[in-house]
Amino acid sequence: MIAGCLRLLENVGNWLLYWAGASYGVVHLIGTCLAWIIGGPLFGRPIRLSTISLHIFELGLKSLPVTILFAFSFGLVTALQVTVFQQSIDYLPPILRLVGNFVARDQAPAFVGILLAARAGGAITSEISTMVFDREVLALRSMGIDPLRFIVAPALLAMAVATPILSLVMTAVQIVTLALYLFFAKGIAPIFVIDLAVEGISGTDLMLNAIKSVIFGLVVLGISARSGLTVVESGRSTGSATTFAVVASIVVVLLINALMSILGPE
Amino acid sequence: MAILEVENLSVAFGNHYALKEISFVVSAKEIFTVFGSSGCGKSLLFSAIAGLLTPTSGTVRLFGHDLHALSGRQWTQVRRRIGTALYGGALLKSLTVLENIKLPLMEIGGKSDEEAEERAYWLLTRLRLRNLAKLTPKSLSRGEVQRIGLARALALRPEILFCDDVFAGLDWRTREDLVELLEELRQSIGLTVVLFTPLPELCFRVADRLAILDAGKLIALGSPAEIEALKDPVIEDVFLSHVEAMRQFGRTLDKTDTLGKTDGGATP
Repeated sequence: MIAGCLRLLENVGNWLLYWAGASYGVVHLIGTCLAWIIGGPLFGRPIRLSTISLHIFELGLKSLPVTILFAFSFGLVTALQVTVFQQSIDYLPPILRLVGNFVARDQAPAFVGILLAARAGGAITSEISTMVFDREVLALRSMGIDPLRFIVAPALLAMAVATPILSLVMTAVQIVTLALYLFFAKGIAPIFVIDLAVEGISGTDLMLNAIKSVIFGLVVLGISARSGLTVVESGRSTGSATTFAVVASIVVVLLINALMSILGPE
Repeated sequence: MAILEVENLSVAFGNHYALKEISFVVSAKEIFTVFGSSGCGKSLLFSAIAGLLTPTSGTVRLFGHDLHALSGRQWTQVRRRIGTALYGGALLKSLTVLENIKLPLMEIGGKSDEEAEERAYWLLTRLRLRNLAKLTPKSLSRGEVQRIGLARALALRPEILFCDDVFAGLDWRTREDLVELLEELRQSIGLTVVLFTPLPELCFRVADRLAILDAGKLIALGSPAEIEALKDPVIEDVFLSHVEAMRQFGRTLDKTDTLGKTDGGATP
């Protein structure tokens, strides 16, 4: 009995230590990349700006169709919910304000984070782990070039630019879908619906939308890049490292979203 | 004059010693090979000597500097004098051949874009690879990638070149081309070469001196002739038997060549 409890305690301790180490690794990676982005030019070692547009295209623009599809689908579901609960026209304004607020403040950034974890996160882990196996990362290190500066920092900057845009697109598409559904199903003027939904979104909500989406983008990229870079020492294959990165990113995005919603300004 | 001094170098993972108390000295303008079969610790030794791995104990002195006690700035200075050619070329696939060679020139050498391009083109011309400059590594053969990897390692005019298994998987002719290139560089610019290889016949072909690694330990050190004269059964098993097998294989190839049965020359 005591031996069993001790083993359980040991396993929990090992698990906590592993996650503490991994979390530190991700935070360290993001911090180092930010230091390269900001401090690199001051020391004559800027990040490769030429690759940022490519990363924005790969990580952001290529995620746009699926983001719009996701937003359209959830906009439709939200519209159906609104029509089910809306008994009289008097209840519509507060419901629409609430929906607008919820979408902009919480739902859109979290969904963008989850989408990027699945779409871009997996791709980043797979690409970086392939570079590790092909010794490209070792080649950079042998030339005295920090792989974080050369490979990860440009992608991180691109992610920080792309995520707030994707989050705003998701918010807008959801509200427009809601308005169009209410127009075709109930004959309510779209401009009226959009006006009320936008009324529920304050400047603080928009700021939170942007801050959250940037943080989620950084976290997804940090976890994915670290997972790819440590693929050899963690003993994982590219496939399992990619799965791990996607699952861990989604869990962390959801946790941070909940935490920021609880602690964030009202 | 000693350019590289390795003294009691050990690398351990937990209680397991992957390399144990390795010591040797490499002189200037020497071609020094480290021979060992797969898993004997060659790549670890390469990483420790090239400054990519901190050893558990022991010292590596390069140009008189203790490699693992250098500050960041001193290390950058020393790095400019080292070339590193990795297994498989290790070119960055997102860059063209020209950009790959320009990379160390601009990043470590502090050259401008124009200067780096001029030097890269000069190197590519010298290695008869100029026509590949605008291509990406994905569209090249293994031999071409390996030669470009070597060109990148030579870009900064290093005094010492570390080559980790750069002959692996290459056909006989490409291998001979690379060997000739290394010998030519030694003659023309006085390059010191430290070559890590699992190919015993290559050690006899190019090495001035060689070290034999077995299970993380250095079991022999000397010129090829000295090693052959040792008549040690362990060395016989680890090294000389392979050399003899390769020589016999070479003779078989020569015969088939004479009879015109094969197009000749390829070794496994």
